[in-house]
Amino acid sequence: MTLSTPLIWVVVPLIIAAICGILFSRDKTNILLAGLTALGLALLAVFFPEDMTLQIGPLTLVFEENLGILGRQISISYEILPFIAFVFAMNCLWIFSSAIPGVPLTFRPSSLVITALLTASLGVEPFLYAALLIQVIILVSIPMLSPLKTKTHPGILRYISLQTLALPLILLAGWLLSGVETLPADSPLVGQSMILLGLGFAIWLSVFPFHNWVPMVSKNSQSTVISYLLFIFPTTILMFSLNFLNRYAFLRTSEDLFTILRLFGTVMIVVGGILTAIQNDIKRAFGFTVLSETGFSLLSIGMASSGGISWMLALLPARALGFLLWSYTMSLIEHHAVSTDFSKLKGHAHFFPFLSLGLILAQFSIGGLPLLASFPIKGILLVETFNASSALGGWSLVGNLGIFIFSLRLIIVFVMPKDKSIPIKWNHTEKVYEFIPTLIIILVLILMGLFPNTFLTGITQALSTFGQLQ
Amino acid sequence: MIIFIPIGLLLLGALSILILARIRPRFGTSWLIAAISSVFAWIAIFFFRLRLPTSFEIFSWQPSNLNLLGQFSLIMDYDNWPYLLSLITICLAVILSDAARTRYETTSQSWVASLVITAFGLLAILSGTSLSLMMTWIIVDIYELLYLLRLQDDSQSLQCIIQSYAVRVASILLLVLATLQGWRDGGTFDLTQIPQRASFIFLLAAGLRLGAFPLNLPFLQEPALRRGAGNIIRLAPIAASLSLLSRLPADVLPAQLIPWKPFFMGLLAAAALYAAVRWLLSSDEIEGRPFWIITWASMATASVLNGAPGASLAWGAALLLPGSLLFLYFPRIQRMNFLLYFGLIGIIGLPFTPAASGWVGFVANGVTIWTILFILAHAIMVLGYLDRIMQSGGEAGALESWARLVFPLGLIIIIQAVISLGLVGWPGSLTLGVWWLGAASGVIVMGAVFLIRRLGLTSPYFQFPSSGKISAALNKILPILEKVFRLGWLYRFLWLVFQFLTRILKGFSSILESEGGILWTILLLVLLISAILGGG
Repeated sequence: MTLSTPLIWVVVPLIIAAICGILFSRDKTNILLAGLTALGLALLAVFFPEDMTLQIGPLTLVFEENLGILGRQISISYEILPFIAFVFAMNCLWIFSSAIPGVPLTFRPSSLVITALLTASLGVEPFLYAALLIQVIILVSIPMLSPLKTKTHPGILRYISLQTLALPLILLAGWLLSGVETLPADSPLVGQSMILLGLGFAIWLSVFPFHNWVPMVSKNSQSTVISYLLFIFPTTILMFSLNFLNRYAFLRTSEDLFTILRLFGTVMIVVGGILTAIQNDIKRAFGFTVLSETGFSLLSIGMASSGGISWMLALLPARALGFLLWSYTMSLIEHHAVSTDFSKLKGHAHFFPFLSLGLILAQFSIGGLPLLASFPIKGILLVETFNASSALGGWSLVGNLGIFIFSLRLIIVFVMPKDKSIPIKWNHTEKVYEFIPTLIIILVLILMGLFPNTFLTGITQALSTFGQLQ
Repeated sequence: MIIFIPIGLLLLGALSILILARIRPRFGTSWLIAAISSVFAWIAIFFFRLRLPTSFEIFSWQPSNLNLLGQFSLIMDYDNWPYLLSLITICLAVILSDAARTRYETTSQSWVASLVITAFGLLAILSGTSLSLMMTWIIVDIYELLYLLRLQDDSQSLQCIIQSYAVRVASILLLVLATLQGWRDGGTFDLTQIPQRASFIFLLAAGLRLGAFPLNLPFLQEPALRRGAGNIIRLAPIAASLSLLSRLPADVLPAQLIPWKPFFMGLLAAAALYAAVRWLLSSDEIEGRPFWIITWASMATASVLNGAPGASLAWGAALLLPGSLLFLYFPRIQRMNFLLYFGLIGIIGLPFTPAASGWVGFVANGVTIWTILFILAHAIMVLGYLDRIMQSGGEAGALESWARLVFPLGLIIIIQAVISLGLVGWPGSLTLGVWWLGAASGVIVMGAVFLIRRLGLTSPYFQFPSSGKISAALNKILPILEKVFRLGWLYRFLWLVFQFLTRILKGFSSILESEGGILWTILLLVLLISAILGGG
């Protein structure tokens, strides 16, 4: 029997998502169905045989890489499976973590659709159709960002407007690029297509000054939802951007492009870091932290000549786990305290020490504190950035310092009591399902920080899909 | 692997006490477990003296597909063995002397804390690479933070703890920066070969943690635990920082900072002198403990800046062991007061005493004005120590029978460790040293004692007559100096700058997020492109 890989990792999750959408009011069924599907697909991607043949009893399933839909092809090769396993595994963790109160019912089907479309976007031919799939991802994310019966906030409108604005720019750039390869390097068309492409990606990745929707949406959306979106969306865009670098030699060989990427990466780290440091709202701060993380990804790609693209990929698992811990603890803290503002969270650690510790460590992990997941990669990235330019390296450090300053402020808020005259009593009131997952994620973050070669290198195999970038 | 034996013993002891506390809480058995595990750990570390140097690579991030740098290893050599011995001795002394403090603040939990913090402190001292050091600093800091937070019930103390933790985080970030600089210069390195360009940042990291360079005193009010585990909590991180100091290269200052050396030395000398005076005038040894630490730490740091990192060992050992002898001597028993005189061996600096090898740290580049100030600070420290010795004590009958045996034993092992370090602590520990500096300090001490007798000051505690001019001057000057050195003014200034910048940045953010935000975004984009094109 012959099947195709896109059928497994694109069509199946879409069907399950549709079922979840129909059964959206059945909370537990929904979580189990969506979560186990994501888990199954992740495991299948991990254990999928290289010869693409599965033997189940007397049944032999032969898999093809391609699936034709409406005259287009979606191709999922064996080489990209580690990345697919990673995104589905993360989707699974986020879906299971959404069992906590307050997460919109639309999150599970929407997140599954988003992951399936991300998978499709990795292998669609002609590859420019990925831009359309990304646009669909943006549209699908709306119901989870702004669930039914809730008032739509201006951030959502800003998000849709800006992200949609990027689509024509990318399509136009793609159209121009198809003719650029045959043109001489000094043709004005080369520069024009690069500007359009850069602008499109800058809007998609919320590069300064297109960033303002991020803190707005972050503040007004549920923590699980926004953390997943702010993890998966930039990841999709970054993977899509690798397609361009892989296909067009003039982009790969352009020193100017990599210099600009390093520059904008650093700007993002500085803007994100400094604006994180001054926030009094944890969810807004998270939005700015994400900008800083995008900056690190851009900086990594900018350091491609030193192996930066591998670092960009290796940062993803560390970031994902950090975001997951943030979202889990933040959702629970928000549920308990009904606020994410510093003024309402004073002394919170006296009653919820594990959740507070989890949130603080999530911030520290994202910031790159030694012992935690991001440090090994960020460390080597900063060393190479310093080697390339002391100024960029210095500013990147300063920007990253902002996240540490915010984390220290968070400790002060959580520890200092609201009423200083009342003696402090520590009393942990968290339930088992609240603090056990928190401790497990912290442990994994520490293991990742100690053994980066074990935990972070697997995903870099995905680079073999991009033959020219290895 | 043998390097792990003492650490494993301590952690095993802590675990056993915890399990016992759950199953069948028994105070005496818990104490016995703590004592046995620390005795064996202490013996193991003594045994290690015969096997120096020893190293053990735990794991490395190389080779790596990601070109990662970094390895984790432990090293035991002459630069850190004195600190290993000091720390384990303090731990053992704490457990033994706690037998006499059962009525005060001693619980089985505090022994667990002592054993765990000592274990991680040993790990930090043994760290062979900056990455291992970073990890252990982080673990010790987090454990200490959580432990201290749990003990406090007033917001004032919480503020101090968090301030102190913020300083620790800053020191870790400096360590990260130093590591990145070191990696940049020569790839992976271990702490026995710290790259020259990174060494000054390492010095800053250690100095900040010690509270000496730049001077910072977040913990003027001591935490709830004053002795016992409190002593370990205060001294374990100090020992780890001191061991880093002893590993720094002789040319620690980068070329562009050499003209600033007198300024740095001046800061250290001022810190040492101020803290020494405060030590002398503090009402008891626990109140004086932060100043005790600052003075010796300043002297150790000054030795490194002067190009004699080996000399820092002598001052580091003086900080840890004779200090602990005083801090753990509670309750005071009149008949045991004489034991404190042996502590003087560790700090007096006369030829063939452990501190004699430290003097070279002040004259490595010739005698300067700072040398004189450091001698003065040293003399004041000795004077303060003498003052504490002379304080009267109570009756031994106040102790339980078993405590009458183990309490003095706890103090005696500290004295024994002081003497051992003087004899075989590190190459050159038994030396004539720069004998005339020790003699000069001794003369100052004797002169001061003579003057004190003449002025009619009472001992214990140099209480100047309240109507005297000296008292009036001190009452005016000391509070001002304390405000300066506590750096509260700096924190307030930084907070004001932070708030000012916050206001501007928040205003900028709110413009971009307002109704006309997209127009502002486009304007900013045009400006940005113009700036980039203009710049190109």
